[in-house]
Amino acid sequence: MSTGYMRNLENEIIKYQRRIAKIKENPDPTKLKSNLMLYEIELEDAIGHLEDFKAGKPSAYGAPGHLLRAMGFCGSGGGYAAADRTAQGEGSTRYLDMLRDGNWPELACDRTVVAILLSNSGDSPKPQFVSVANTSCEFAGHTAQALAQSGHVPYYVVDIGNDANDENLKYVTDQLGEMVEYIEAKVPGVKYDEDKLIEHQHYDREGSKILREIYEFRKRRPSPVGARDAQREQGPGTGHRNPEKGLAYMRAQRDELFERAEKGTGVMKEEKLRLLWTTVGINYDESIYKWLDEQGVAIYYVFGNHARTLGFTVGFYGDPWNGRKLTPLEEEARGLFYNSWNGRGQRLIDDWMFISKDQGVGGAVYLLQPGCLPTLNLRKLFTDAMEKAGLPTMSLEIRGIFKEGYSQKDVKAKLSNFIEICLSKKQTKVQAI
Amino acid sequence: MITLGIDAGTKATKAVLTNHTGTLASVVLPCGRESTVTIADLARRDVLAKAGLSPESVTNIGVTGLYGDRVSFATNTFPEGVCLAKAMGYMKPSVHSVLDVGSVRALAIKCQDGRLTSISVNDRCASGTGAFVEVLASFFRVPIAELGNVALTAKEPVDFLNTCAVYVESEALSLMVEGKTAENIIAGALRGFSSRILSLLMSIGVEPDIAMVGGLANNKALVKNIEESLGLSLFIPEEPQTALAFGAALLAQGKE
Repeated sequence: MSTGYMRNLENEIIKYQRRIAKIKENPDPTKLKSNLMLYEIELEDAIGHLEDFKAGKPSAYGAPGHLLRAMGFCGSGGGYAAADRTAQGEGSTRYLDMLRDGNWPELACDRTVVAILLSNSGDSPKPQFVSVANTSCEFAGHTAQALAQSGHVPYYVVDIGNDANDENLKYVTDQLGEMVEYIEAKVPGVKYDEDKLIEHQHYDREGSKILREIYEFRKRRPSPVGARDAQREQGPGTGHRNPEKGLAYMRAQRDELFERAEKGTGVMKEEKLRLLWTTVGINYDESIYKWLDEQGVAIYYVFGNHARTLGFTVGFYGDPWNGRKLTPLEEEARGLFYNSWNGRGQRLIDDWMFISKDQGVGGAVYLLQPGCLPTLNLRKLFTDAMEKAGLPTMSLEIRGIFKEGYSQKDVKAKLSNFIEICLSKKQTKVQAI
Repeated sequence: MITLGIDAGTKATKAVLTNHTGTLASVVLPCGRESTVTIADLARRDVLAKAGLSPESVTNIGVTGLYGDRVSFATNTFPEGVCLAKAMGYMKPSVHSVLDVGSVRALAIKCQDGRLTSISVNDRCASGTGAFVEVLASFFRVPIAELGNVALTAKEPVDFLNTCAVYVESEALSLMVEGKTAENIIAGALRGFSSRILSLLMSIGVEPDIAMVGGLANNKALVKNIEESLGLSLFIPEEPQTALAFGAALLAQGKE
């Protein structure tokens, strides 16, 4: 088994060590103190993954993550989050160069295609198994297929129906059962451990509860969290090697936000405006977020169906389904139904509109990530829904990872104009009241 | 209160002095190869001299434009769309849509009571910015200010197929080889250009009255094309090039 020289993980280890040292020496008061804990956990993850890969433990790329972990796969270094992290260093140019050299599609979503480049270059380990659910994120499917074909490894596609009903639940659960058998037959050294899956689901449920508490604190004005830190809360934080520590970090973050919310302190004295920021972050330019803080603009960042993750629209792990408790595999099937890119786009729009109203945003920044077919297509539905709610939307054509063509100056100019539009609408509403 | 507004653009820097009665004086200086701050300082001095005022008489200096952030002596910096909306609210409150075509970027805004309500920006493609017209003027060796008048003399404007600013010269050359006249080529190219900048306005929804500002608002052929397409007359301010600077000066009045 070839695991390459794992430049990416080695870089991550150096990055986290540097960040931890920097925070300890000179903490930034605008950032959350609990970030230190997060970086320590992520450092542990990176070191652990590197050791696993060097020891030859199998890794996987794909979904459902809990199920793959319960089978004994170690972190693959793939996925959106790992891809996003490459943008902060040399990855913003390195992988775009590789993309062109390798004749890969340049206008594919960089958040998906970077996984192929990480793996094929040897910067990250090659997975021994790849799975994907057939959602509207076509590039996720193409990426998984390319990874499997180029690595000559087993590949499984889970077909998810649009509707969350009993028939489909059985259909998807049966496929997951078949996938488990397929993996056990094809990949040496892995075995399904149901107790492990239950444990992962328990941590996810606990993490989601904390996330929901954080969500409530986030409603306070001024926002207890800065624009950069606002992007850290997308999942329950329990996908780490040590989920207990993941939960401890979530609790520390919650307590810190609670304290800030109670004292009415945050990163800005006066919150002039709150914006929903959706589809992708500008991962290579942290200073744009600091600038937003300085303008008194708070961000509520959503990627995918955030309201679902928080349990506003459907149940957490462990909640009943049509009056009955689900089996662990059925729980994973239910999770796939509510994958952000599965089902009708309207569901995602409803989620974003729910959060927009609940968090009292004054507008939305909609990043048009090239190659992201679901969000490019959903823009009209979203802007129409926002307009109906009397809220303006700004579309910004920007890549999440590749920095080429990015101009902070232009983005600031556009945001400045947009902030004024939102403030103007807000003032008109106040006057009307 | 006397305030100064400066629009630091790529080709020219514009400065406007205002007080509560409106414009006191204005200047437009081509940028050349001087630094933004040097040109902006020259514009400040020129406009003060023109109005017969001392630097101390100016309370605030509001700056806008692509290079506005480089003007170190500014007291306030304002976004371009906001300045445009403010200026229009003062000049002609019935205007609700404005088109501003600059050298490297074009803006279309909607406004109400001097406040910006919507904006669309083209900063990606030169085919819809003043750069396209500059290349055209340079190829035919016609001053930009005269290009519109030349186009109005055309009898049979050509179909100018290439939209990319990079290919303006080769397309114009091919048409000349085919025997087309300069005025017909210029008129055809400007007609295509009009439809592209109009699409920017369409993208946010046209709401009359409509104004056009920036140096290209002096191009009569361009204005005629747009008016014919819309079936409406455009409002062109007396000094369309200084509209942004005027807006910045007005906004600076509200800043202590």
